[in-house]
Amino acid sequence: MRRGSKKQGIVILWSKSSQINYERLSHLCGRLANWYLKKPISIIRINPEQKNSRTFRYPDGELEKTEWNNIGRFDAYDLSPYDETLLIDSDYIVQCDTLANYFGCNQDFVCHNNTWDVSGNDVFRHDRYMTRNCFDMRWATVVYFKKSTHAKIIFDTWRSVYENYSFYSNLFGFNKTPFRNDYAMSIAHQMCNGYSNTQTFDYALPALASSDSILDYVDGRWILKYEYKNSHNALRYTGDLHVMNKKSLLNADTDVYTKLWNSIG
Amino acid sequence: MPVIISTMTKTNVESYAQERFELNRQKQTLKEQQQQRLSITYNGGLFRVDMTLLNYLYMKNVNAGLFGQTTKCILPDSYNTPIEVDTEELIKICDDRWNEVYNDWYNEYTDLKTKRKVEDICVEDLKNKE
Repeated sequence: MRRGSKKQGIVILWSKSSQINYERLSHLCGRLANWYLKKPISIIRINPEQKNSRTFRYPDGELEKTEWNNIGRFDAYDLSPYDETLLIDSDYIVQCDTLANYFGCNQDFVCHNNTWDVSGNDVFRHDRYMTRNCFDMRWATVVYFKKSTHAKIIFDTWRSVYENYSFYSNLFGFNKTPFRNDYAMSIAHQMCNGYSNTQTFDYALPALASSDSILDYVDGRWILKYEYKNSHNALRYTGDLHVMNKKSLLNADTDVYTKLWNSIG
Repeated sequence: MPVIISTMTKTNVESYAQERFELNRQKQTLKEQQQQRLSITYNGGLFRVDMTLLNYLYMKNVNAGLFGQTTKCILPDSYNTPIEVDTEELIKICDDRWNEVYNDWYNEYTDLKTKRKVEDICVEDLKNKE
């Protein structure tokens, strides 16, 4: 760690997309993270050289190919102005202080190795492993890191995996398109930790699948619409949430964005 | 079993107001959401507050009180890093977090177990809109 100031803070990276207003999402994400975790935030725009896209399935069954500029997160180590950084995606909505526990811990780089579907449908069961050979998956949605040699090596390896993605896709056996940050980080994290299941958060990443949506946000509680086979219903949830259906966060009809924005301060 | 609804295009919460509320699914979600809060940091280590840790800390403190044993000891944290702890200090932090989480869990569950329809879980908001 660098000598001198020992700053702790939150970094949110976003890039321009023609379909989703990531800048707006980043500001909401930053405001809530700052409030609940009591740490300064830095919202940084990145301009990835290479565009990426991915097909999402929404609650009405609609399939949409979305511009998905997730490349460039391996630059976070150099971009972060903090000695201890919590790097979060702009679609991760902080609602409690659990992540604040990790500031000051004795780990250099921590990420999630598991995710749970808050709707109870367990749609992420297929993402436990990256490949058919059961290569353990990691999630790059929330990453805690220190400015340390070990963390630097992981970020450098992450970049190297991105630059040689085709090679690694053949080596481990996964699709080389689209580029997935989670995959690149999983490989880097495991290579640098001796392929052992260490340096991960001690709870699963709470997430809402793109096929589910947010109906409302009332008094700090999410009202979520979930699907089960051909039916839909609603349930209540309180806590942090990785919202894969970003459109439902920005939906003007439900106005969840404004409710979340006004829920604090 | 979830209720089958006639249309797939419902997007607002009012349209779900009369649907049956699934308590078992909600219980599972509640359990997961509360358990993720059971972590504390102490002396650079991260500990998961569970019954094993609480029992050990209580036993150490009882032994310190009865037999004059030390309250200082080394415990492995969630990342198997040995951390020097003072059991008197740590039990207070763990106990506070345990009570905070389990009280919230109990209150949420007590509130939810009487609900039968979706409108019951967000009734105030719906009333405000009327």
